[in-house]
Amino acid sequence: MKAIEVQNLTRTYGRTRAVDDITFAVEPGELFGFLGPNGAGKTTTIRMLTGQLRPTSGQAQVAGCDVVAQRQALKPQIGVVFEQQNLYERFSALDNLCFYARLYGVQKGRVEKVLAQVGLLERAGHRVEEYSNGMRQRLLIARALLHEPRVLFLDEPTRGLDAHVAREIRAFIAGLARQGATVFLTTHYIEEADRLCNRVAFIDHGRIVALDTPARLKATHGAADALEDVFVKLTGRALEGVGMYSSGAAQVPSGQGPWSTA
Amino acid sequence: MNAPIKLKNFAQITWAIAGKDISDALKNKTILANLITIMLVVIFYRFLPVLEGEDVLPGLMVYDQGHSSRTAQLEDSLAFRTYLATSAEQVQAFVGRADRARMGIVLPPDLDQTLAAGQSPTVDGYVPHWASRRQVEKLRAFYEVELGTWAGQPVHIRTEGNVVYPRLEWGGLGFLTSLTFVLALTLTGILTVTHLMLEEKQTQTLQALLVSPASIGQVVAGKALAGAFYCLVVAGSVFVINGAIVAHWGLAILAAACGTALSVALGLLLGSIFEVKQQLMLWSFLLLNLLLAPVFLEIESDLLPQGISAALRWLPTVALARTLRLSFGNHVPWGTFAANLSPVLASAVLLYLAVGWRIRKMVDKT
Repeated sequence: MKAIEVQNLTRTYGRTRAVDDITFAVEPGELFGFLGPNGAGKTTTIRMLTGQLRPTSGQAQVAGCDVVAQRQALKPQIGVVFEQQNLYERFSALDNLCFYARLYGVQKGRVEKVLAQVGLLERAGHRVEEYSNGMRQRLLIARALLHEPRVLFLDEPTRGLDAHVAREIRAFIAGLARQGATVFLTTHYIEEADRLCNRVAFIDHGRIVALDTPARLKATHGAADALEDVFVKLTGRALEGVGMYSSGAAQVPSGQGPWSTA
Repeated sequence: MNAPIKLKNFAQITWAIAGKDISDALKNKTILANLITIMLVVIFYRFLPVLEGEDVLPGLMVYDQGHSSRTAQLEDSLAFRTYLATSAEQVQAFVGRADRARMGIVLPPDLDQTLAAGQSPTVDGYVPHWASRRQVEKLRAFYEVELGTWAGQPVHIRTEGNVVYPRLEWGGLGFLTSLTFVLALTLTGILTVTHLMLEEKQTQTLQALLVSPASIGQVVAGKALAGAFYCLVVAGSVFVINGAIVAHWGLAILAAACGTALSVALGLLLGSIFEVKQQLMLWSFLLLNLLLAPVFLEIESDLLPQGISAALRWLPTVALARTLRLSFGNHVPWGTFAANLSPVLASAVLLYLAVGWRIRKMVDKT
């Protein structure tokens, strides 16, 4: 069974086709990158796949659940890291996670384990409003991992973070992938996807314009060094935000990340 | 999943959301500020009569059944101001409309003969039912001395069984209490309950909730429970401060429960319509005026055309105030109580239907 299976998925807003007849599948244990400029349809796709938005047409299954008909059954199977840092700011990290643990029916021991996993256990009692951007992002990831979902959706997880925090987050994602987690990652940082993902899909104006492993995409389109060149060749324009971090900052350590993913 | 497990699951998630919001009140400056302001309003209205200051002279209304020649001399008293009544009902209204404890007396028809015979007359003294024993004793002792001087004989004032219960159409402490109650509940609904929904929307934590096992129905039910908790705390504080006026606690609690249902429904509807706090700030002033001005107007129904006065009673806030005022009386006709409660309940049901419709729209939009 595929972790994610999407067929002819479309979402329109009035006359605008935000997502236009996309079809793809993600294998279990795969780190799948979904790349595109702002407004290309990445977040709309993620919202449909996580049951937050009803598709206009087409079908999608995530972890074996239809995203429309089995929306409630889908919820425990997925974890979502939103683009916005939507946490309860007045609550401590521990209280934030304990609240979600009650919703998911998860034991408190798991809360502490996941806080330790993202390196926040020592400051778990502090209010989130006192946290740095990087700590909040780690807490968002902890929240998404709390109930041990089968598929993890990360919507622009490094957006707006400074270089070293972004590198920490990437290392953590890489660690998750090494452990066999299925990750659906949207980003407009092309180097991030190049280094992290098993396969990437380029989306532009709601349509998937290419889908393959980064190496094969580069080989097929004669862009030996940069995945960005493939996107430029396919769409005639560059991805917005490329170059916001140096390529060094995008490197993923080959060994263990800064936080334990064990 | 079978029905009992589904229900248990629904209740667990709903309670988790409500528990979060209730505990959040201690950390949330907006909610704390709202609740403190509402408490201050409750305290302000209770002690408004005290703030207005004591009259220069206490007032005494007198109905003289025997048309005694001496009665006119009471008006010369320097210790109290005398108001002459033409009926015992007028005396009762004088006492019942008061916002502070005061007395009215009914002189016996044979006062002159009793005094001529050198006997001590007994007069009926009326006091509000909510006056404390100490207040009643103080009033009785004061007027027994003053009337004794006036009569030239000791005068005994009989207050036993002469307590006056506020009537629906009377002002005074009964009206002030019902106004405070409606004001506090409406403010809690519009400001606090709406804020619970709005904040989840603005911080986008609602999105995170909706990808968790919580459904939108559970989110709204959790907010309703938290809102009901706030409303009951506020209603409870009104009763703690004004409890002496309540004659029928069962009816008062029923009024509080229905008022809570109405207020929570209003807050949930606004919370489901508004997207940002600025909208709430813009509309809350207008809404509060629309809902509360009729409560003031209704008590002055003598000044209004009859049709308007009757129409006002169908407004939920007016009906709620009247329902609570009924619990202050000694005799409550069930028909009158039901007639006053029904606009409150009907409005609450309509508002919950509107909340349901809004939620369905929100779900359909996704």
